[in-house]
Amino acid sequence: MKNILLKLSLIALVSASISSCRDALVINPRQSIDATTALTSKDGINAAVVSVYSRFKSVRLYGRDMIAFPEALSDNGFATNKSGRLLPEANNVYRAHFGDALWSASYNGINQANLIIETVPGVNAAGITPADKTSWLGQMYFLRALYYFNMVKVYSYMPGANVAAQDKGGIPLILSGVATSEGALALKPARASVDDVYKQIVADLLLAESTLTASGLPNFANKTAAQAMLSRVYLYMKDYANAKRWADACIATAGTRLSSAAAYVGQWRGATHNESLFQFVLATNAENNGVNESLQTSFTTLTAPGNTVVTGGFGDLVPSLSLMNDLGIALTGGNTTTNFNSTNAAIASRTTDVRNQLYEPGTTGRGSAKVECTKFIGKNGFINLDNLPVIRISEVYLNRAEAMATPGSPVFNETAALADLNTIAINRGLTAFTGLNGSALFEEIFKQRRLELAFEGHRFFDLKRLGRDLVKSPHYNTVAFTDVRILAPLPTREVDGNKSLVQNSGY
Amino acid sequence: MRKILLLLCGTLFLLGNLSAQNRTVSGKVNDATGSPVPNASVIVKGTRIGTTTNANGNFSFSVPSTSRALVISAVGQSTIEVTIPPNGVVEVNLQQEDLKMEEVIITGYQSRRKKDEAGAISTIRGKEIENLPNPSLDKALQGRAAGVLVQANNGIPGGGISIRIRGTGSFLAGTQPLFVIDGVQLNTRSDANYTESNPLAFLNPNDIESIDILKDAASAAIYGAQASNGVVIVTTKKGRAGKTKFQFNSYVGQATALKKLDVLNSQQLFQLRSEAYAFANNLLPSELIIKRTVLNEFRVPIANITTNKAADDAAAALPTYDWQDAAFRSGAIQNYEMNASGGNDRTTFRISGSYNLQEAIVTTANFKRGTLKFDLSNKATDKLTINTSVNASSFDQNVPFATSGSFLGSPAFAAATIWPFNPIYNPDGTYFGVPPQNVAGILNQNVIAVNEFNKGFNRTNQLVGNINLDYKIKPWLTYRPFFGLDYRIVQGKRFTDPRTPDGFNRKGLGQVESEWNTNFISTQTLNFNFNIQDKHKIDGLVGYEYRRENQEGIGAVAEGFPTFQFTTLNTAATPLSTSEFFTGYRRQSGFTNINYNYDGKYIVSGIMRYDGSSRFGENYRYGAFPSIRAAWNIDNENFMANSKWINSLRFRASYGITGSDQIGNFDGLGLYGAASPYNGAPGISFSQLANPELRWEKNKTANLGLDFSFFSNRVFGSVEAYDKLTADLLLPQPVQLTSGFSSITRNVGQISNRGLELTLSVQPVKSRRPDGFNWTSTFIFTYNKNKVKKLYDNLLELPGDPSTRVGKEIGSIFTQRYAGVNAATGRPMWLDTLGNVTYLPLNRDRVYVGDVQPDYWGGWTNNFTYKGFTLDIFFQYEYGRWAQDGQINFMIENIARLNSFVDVYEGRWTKPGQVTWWPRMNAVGAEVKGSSAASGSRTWFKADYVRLKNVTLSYDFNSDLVRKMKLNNARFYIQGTNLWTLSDWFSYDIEFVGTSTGIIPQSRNITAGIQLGF
Repeated sequence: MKNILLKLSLIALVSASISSCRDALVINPRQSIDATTALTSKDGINAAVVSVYSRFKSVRLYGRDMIAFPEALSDNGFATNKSGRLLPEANNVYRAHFGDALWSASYNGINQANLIIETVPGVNAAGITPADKTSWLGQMYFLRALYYFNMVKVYSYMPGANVAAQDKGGIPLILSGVATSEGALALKPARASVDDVYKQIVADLLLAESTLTASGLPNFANKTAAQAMLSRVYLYMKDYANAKRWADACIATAGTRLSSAAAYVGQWRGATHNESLFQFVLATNAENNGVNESLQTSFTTLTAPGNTVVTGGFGDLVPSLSLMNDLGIALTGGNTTTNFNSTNAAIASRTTDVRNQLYEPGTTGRGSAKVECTKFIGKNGFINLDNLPVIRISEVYLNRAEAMATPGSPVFNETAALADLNTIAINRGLTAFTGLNGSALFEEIFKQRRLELAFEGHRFFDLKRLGRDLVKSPHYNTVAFTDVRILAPLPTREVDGNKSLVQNSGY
Repeated sequence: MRKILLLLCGTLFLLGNLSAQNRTVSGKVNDATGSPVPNASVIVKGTRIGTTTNANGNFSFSVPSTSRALVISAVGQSTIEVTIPPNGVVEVNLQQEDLKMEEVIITGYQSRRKKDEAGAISTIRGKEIENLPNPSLDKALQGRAAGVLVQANNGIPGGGISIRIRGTGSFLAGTQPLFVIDGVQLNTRSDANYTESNPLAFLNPNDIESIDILKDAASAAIYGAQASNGVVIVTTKKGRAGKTKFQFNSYVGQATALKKLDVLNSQQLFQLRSEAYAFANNLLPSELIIKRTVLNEFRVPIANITTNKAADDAAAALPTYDWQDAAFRSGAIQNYEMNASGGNDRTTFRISGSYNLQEAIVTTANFKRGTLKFDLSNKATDKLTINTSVNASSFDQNVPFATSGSFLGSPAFAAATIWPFNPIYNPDGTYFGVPPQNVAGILNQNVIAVNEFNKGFNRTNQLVGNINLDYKIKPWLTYRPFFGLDYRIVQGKRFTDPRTPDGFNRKGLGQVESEWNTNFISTQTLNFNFNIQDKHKIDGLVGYEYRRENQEGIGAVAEGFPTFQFTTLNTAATPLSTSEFFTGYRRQSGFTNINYNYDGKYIVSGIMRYDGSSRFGENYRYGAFPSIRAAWNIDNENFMANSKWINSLRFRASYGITGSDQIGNFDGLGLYGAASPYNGAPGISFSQLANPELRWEKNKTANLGLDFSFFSNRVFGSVEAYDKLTADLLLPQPVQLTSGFSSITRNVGQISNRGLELTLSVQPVKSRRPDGFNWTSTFIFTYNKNKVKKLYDNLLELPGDPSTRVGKEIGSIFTQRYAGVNAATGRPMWLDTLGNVTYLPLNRDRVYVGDVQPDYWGGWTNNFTYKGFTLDIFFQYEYGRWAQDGQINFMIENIARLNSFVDVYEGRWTKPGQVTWWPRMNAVGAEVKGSSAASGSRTWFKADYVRLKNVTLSYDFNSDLVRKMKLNNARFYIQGTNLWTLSDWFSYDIEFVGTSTGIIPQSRNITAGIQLGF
């Protein structure tokens, strides 16, 4: 009996293990879903749209590099060497430039956008309205334009300002989504021309402008933001008529958001600046970019304005002497003549320009105190958590002013340009300029642009689009516009793996 | 410890009276010279009834009256079978064993005589690695098996180990071998997030009976798709019939740092930093403004320093503190274990428990392990035997700092590099420079304080066990169902204390994680074994196997703790994030192995395994892995019968195919995964492209081997030559980033490994008397040449990864050659493609410098015995490897933002005309329009070494004394590890692989122990 039982159970064991053969290898992932079903529901597309936004929060994009590098590479920033970060960029060390991650993260975002743009028109799932589709598409066009604009500014010369012998063109334009291995393996794109890239950016922004609605919230792509971006992109393209045209449109609806001199500093202390037309929001502390690379730690050691007792971040990049001079800040202390800051910096006097109130001495917790920029100071309630600015209304005024003050502009109008300049000046605590014209007017507009947008990621690109040298005295050597370091290298692995892709000169 | 003893006693009591017998047999066992053999095993033939001889070689036990014969065996002696005479008194003389050849080895699902095996298999006996103070068994393999390269990733007790059997055979898929413990295929992935943790640390190495390493594909093919990197089969100690025996073993000792780095004092650092600022700004270091700047940076009040003299005096007055002294300590090593084994004709058992403590040489890091192992075998009927083996283990690792990545807070890195004028303690004994203050310099934390305050902890609880049956269907046919489990749960906790800089502003940061892994295996085999006439022996097996593994984990992070005493997340004000994950795979296989042996002379053996894995694309889920082996036992030929000096000689050849599926569990699927949220809404993005063509990586190895033993077994060993070609390599093949993806896992390319292995043992001195002087020396040598044969798309190197190039080794170093310093300016130079010096080398200037894999490696063991004394001296060596060390890279910077080597201080360029290797200081690091000084071949160093890895001296007390103490045996031993090293490496430890920045270095360990049997 015992024997029979034993044999029976053995047979049962064997058959149990064999009968399971067919399904034996079935197992499905749980924190991912099948790619073919992802974009077939409203929730799925909404979540995919979110990822196109959220990629911009990376420290390799607006999280830090897109904001901090243009200050470090240009004449606005001085690197304190408190953590060693941004020091190579401020010194324009060869290859210390926008890194490969800008390229990979941007093209990843572009592919997600392309896939959504291709899928949305044909989707017919429960709850999806035509308005949803229009909104999704408009947002994707806007963000795709922003990805391309960021990259083409970094890797290529701008229209009308190049060193011809070193000009290798724009960047690859990828406008259809890659969803298969075969597609990815076959993709070996060449660089499109600079003009074609800008044309594509404009085309996307125009589509966005025509489909999006004006939204009160600057956290999402909206019609006003698209107009503002169009004015900036056209200004970069030196198409001054269109730059003015879209600045006009933008100011018509959002011009009143410009802060008064009295309200200006207070606006920088709240989470969202009233002037902001588009920004990337960091909503929760889980999105915090941390003590090493957030905007706050990059620019200041302070944890709150005026509190020099508590040391927060590193304060790796501080305003250069020339920027402080333009801002109307007079220093006492060792760095009035050279960068050897052998005493703690103190501010001797300030002009009435309210913008200079966003600069103050940091703590001595990490070496001698420097005057630091406090535009980013944990405004979302947590240290190192600040929204990431993209475009504000004040820039649109300056775009228009520059478009009208540039010699040879089809919309050349010095009176109107001066009026725009004064709109900014008066609202920043300065007295109105009078009698300015010619290059004096242009230079004043360009100087106000520097002051208005300092530490928001503009200066390097503004100098570059005008073909100007980076004059970094007294801190660093001048980098001529003809220097190869004006352009960032394309990722080595990208060039290694694609014969059609030409590396920038000198790399 | 006390609890373990209690448990032991309780179990023994239960097992004490299991059966009755009815006849007494007694006798004596001697060796060939007539000396008594203690501990010889005496078993009734065909049963498990048995005993062992005492110190005088005597035995006596009762046997069933039906018993006819005894089988007597002992370590190092031949096995003999004697008929029980009517008077029940037996006296036998054993012959010295034919060394090595009669060994039984485990070859995968069966155990066989080594002499019947035709593959390349290395065997390490538990005795060879006994009592080495290594928390895990893999470390003990170092230098003891030819063809096996063992390298430590770090010196963290219980930390990870890298093992390569016969070279690296994969681009980026896994390269670790398969570990099988008592039939359970282990998951050796480290799941601990807060430290380097080695899954093999769960097993007490002293519970190991033997380790068999299947090196050639033909042998390993029985494990098919998991065997591409070789198979390590571990067999643990089991119970033996006879009177219950107890063994107690304990060792204690100390771990100390191998070396301290020779770093600058504050005055030297002041000078370097001054030069760095001066040269970056075209000034002179002697200028007052420079001195004031550096003094200010060094936090010397400078308001009154207005003259050069005042500045020089202030610099001269800077104190120097030894941070390395504060960071390094001597760590305690303790090991206690106890086991009992015994049984009768029906049931045998072994139970063992152990406790092991190893403190790291860096502040509070440590490793604590408790194990409990239980083995039971019961003969239920004449046909059915039930076996079980359970190993329960728990080990804790405290590591308050990150062991990889974030190295700045690690005292192993920072102690040598922090600016040395910073005090460690305030005059009142409290820590200097804790928040809201800090420490001067880029390393602005008091790492000693931080590592006392912070907590980092990983606990691994693991259960590895199996139940199996042996059912004899026919005398020649056995059915063997086997069920095994490898269950592991890893708990981790990290607490960033609010008293530390990182925790101060957020009022503490707490992180917890928990991961569990269930790895189930079921194997059904039919084993057969029969003879046709006398000369044809056939044996083998047919089997089916199923393995499933699920891995899951959760974690949470929160900040804002009321005070530093609160460390649990429920007390935190702000939850930051939660996480969860799941992954797993399934595998099923059928396999067979048939061995044919003609008259002990000719052996042919074939294996076929058919494997299916859920990791691969729909179209290629299943793969077949065949192999064939042959051996010729030349010594069994008639013409060799009269050979005077050849004791054994055999020739082997094999060819086989194995596979690898060591990639991600879902790498073949097209997936949308979670992406970062935006404005409070969750996101998803296309994270992976589908590749339905994904299939097995295939490894084809041809192996030739020769085993020999000459001159009365005074010279013996083996030689192996192999040619291993891995094809269809699993590679995350880079695609253009413009596609939105970075890589697709595909099967591409080929790698070849060719090598030679030599194991040679000699006995230069062999005494005729058993307690005379004996010397055995074993030399192990491996040569391996690794070469990438082919990539894809006719590429000569992987895009963006010059370390993988056709015609060169994996991990070849392809960089710009450093050309020293321009004597006129002190600027570093490199060579360009034309051989000219340049300040700014480009990508095209890269050349092949060397590679990171050794060409030759091995070990040399010497064993001396005299009377009760045994002395083991073990060296290991590696030659032909290049290495880069993160610690060095930082310390040879020309910035002086960290403390540096005295070599740098003495060698640096200071004035025109000086010819040197070390560039001038420069606060920026790179000169204007120049490359960073720490780039190119300058950061690569040769890593050849010979190390006296281990010395053990032991003494076995003589039997009279032992008997008086009512013991069976007693042994005292003393051991040293990492005692001496020959190399010109100037960082902490040459054995590191990887960048090693901030990793705890290995230590010199001295231990003393005692072993008692009763």
